[in-house]
Amino acid sequence: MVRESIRQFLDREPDLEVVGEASDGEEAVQLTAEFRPDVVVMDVAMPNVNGIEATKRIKALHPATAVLALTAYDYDQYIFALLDVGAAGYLLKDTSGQELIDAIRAVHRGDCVLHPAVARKVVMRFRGAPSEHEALGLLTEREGEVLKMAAKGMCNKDIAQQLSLSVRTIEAHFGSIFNRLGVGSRTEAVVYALKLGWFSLEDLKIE
Amino acid sequence: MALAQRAIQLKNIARSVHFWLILAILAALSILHYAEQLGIAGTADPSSHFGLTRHAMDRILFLLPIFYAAFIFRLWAALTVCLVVLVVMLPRALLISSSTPDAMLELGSVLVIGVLVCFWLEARLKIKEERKEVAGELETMQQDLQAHIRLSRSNEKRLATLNAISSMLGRSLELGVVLRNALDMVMEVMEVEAALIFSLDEGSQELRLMAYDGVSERFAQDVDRMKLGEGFNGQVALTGQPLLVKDASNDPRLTKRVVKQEKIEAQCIVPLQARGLVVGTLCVANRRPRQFLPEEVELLTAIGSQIGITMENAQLYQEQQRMAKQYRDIFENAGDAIWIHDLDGNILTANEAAARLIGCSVEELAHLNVAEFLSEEGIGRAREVRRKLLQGEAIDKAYEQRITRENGTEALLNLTSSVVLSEGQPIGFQHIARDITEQQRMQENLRFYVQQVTKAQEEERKRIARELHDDTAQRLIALSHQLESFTSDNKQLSADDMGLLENLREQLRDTLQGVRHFSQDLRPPMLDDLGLLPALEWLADDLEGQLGIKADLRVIGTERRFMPEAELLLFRIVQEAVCNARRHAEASRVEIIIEYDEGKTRGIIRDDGKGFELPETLGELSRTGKLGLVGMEERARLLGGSLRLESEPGKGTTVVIEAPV
Repeated sequence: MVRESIRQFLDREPDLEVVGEASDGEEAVQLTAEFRPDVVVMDVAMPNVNGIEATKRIKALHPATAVLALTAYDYDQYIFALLDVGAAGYLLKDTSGQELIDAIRAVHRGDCVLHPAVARKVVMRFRGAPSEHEALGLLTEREGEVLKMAAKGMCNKDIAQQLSLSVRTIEAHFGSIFNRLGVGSRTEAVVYALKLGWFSLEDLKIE
Repeated sequence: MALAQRAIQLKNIARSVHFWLILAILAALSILHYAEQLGIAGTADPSSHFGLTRHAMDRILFLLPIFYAAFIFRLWAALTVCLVVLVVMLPRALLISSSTPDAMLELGSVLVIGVLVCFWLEARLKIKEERKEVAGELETMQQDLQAHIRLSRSNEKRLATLNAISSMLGRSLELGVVLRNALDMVMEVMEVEAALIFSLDEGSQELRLMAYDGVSERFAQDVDRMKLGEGFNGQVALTGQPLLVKDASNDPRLTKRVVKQEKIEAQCIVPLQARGLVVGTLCVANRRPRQFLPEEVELLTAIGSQIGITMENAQLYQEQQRMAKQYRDIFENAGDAIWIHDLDGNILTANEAAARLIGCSVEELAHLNVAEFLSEEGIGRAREVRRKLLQGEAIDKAYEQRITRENGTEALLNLTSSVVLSEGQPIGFQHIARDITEQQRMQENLRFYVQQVTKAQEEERKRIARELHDDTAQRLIALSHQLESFTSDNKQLSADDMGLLENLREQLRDTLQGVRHFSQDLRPPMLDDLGLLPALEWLADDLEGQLGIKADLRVIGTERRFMPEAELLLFRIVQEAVCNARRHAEASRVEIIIEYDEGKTRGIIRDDGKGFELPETLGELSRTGKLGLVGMEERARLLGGSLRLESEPGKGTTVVIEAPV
């Protein structure tokens, strides 16, 4: 029923096309493999394989596909779990259709979805993990800078402004970052970096 | 001193008839010797007799008083008389005699003979006296000897009597028999007509007549139950001193008239003593006059002591017998099975209940070894118990043991064991057992029922939660989306209508929120979606965020997922513990520790609340209304694990769950 109403919303948008609909996690993984969509909108509470597990599998098979999760619960535990398995973003289930459409576009664009407060929580949560600053070596200095700014919750536009670069250049940097880290969205990239302790809480302070 | 003695001697001599007789003889002879000079007729003719002159005859006659004195008063008196005779005869011989030389010769001869005879007599008398003295000494010695013999004979008799009595007293411990025999013996030894033994009752302080002989039944009834101090016996019991009564019937101290009717005369009463205390009296009596000699009283007192000790022993023995019988009765009639076996497990004795339990007769059971009805595991446990008992550790808690009956069925026993000692050495073990098979079965049934109810409850919650989530919530979301579509499709609506629709959407959102919350409470979806740890994390966050209770979740080991049922059970236990900490313990801090170990998982929930007094068993919790704890324990059991509580008033509470997952 919810799927039905969401589809109705999406169908109205000319730039969005619903290529498949799955009734559980299992089917979602199959359809993703079949249609290779840009974005998967995933409900967490599903029979058989739940949304979290399905996201994990999809990310393992198709890192470039962004998953936007819909959860009924605004609890940190869900958010962390989703970020952990590689969701590009999450939305509360009862958000309006318009918000959902905006979020899908943002995820696809690679725009900011992760709230800075959540980023801080992620750092707090993984604070105990070994610090691997040298791993930053995977990225160029500029890429690291761009990623740190993204972690602070800045949009591409803000980053471009700050670095006096064009938005396109920033987008290109992100594409390079995604490739190097093997992720499909900036959220994933940020979470990846936060989890490995690349940034400290100090780094995340918004100037 | 010697002078005074001499004076007394002289006085005694002067008082003697012999002295005066000697004096009279001397006077008569003096007159006869000087008869002519004194003019006494008939004496003038100095005729001759036997060739001797009359004065010569006189002179010979003077020997008479000398001999007399020598005989009666001994040497010195005789010599004195000799001197007197000399004085008497000397005037005639010197002045009157016609032939002075003859007269002097005669005089001298007489004196010499007199003195000689005196000495001879003295010697004779002395020998005689000495003989007499020796004879006297011999006599005394003989008397002494006889006295000694008499004494030792009497001692011997006394010892023999005492011996006989003590050996007789030691022969039996039956009080009645003992006293009866003692009485017979006392009467025979003392040669009296009647004897009575009283026992002092400690409680009532009365003298109870224990045995008697030689008196009427009426008399016996009358003298029974005399108070301490009442009558002769009461007096003896009070003072502890023997008492002799010469004529009881006419004694002013008599209190019992029946004594007079019984015509009792002589009495001797001694105390019966044991451990220095008077425990009764022994009275011997005669209807004729009877003198009790001191040694007889002494003997009777000694007998009294013997009887006293025996009486006490017999009473102790009776008490012991009574207790033994009581124990025996308890043993035999006990509802619990009791058996005693030796160190090797051979049953020595068992009661009826034990026989019923095993399913054989008491006799058959007494030939069994415990290994015959214990399982392998049971023998192991028995060994453990045995080891502990022999090491002196007391097993104060009953333990469970499974046995196989004669008919092959199994029974579960609740056992209490103790070691049986003989002279300080363990010789076996005593077991008291209660068959708890039925009880156990009922408990298991009950537990099964409770578990089913718990499961059913969770199922039902899950069903409702799912319904709320899958149906109600979805409908509400769809409704909300429809409203949104409608609003965006009809942009021409008035501002009022738009406001109303927006308001409706808000209400829908609130309702949805409420439904979710309810569903969440019924069955946390996080548990299914994310697993135990995130759910517990959420629980801790919720506690801290909503109620301000500091909650820490600590994880030891590597997380692993369990079956949804197991995770739910663990979550519920922690949830309940946390709920108790918040609601009952008024805790300000809760610590949750989850420890993943190999093959098992431990959960510890510790609070700093006010704690409570732990009951003996967890089962008691339900009676005191702590149903939450009971539910926790049931869930732990459903997990196949165990739950332990640690609490003390003022010291917080710790719940420890251990589950083999």
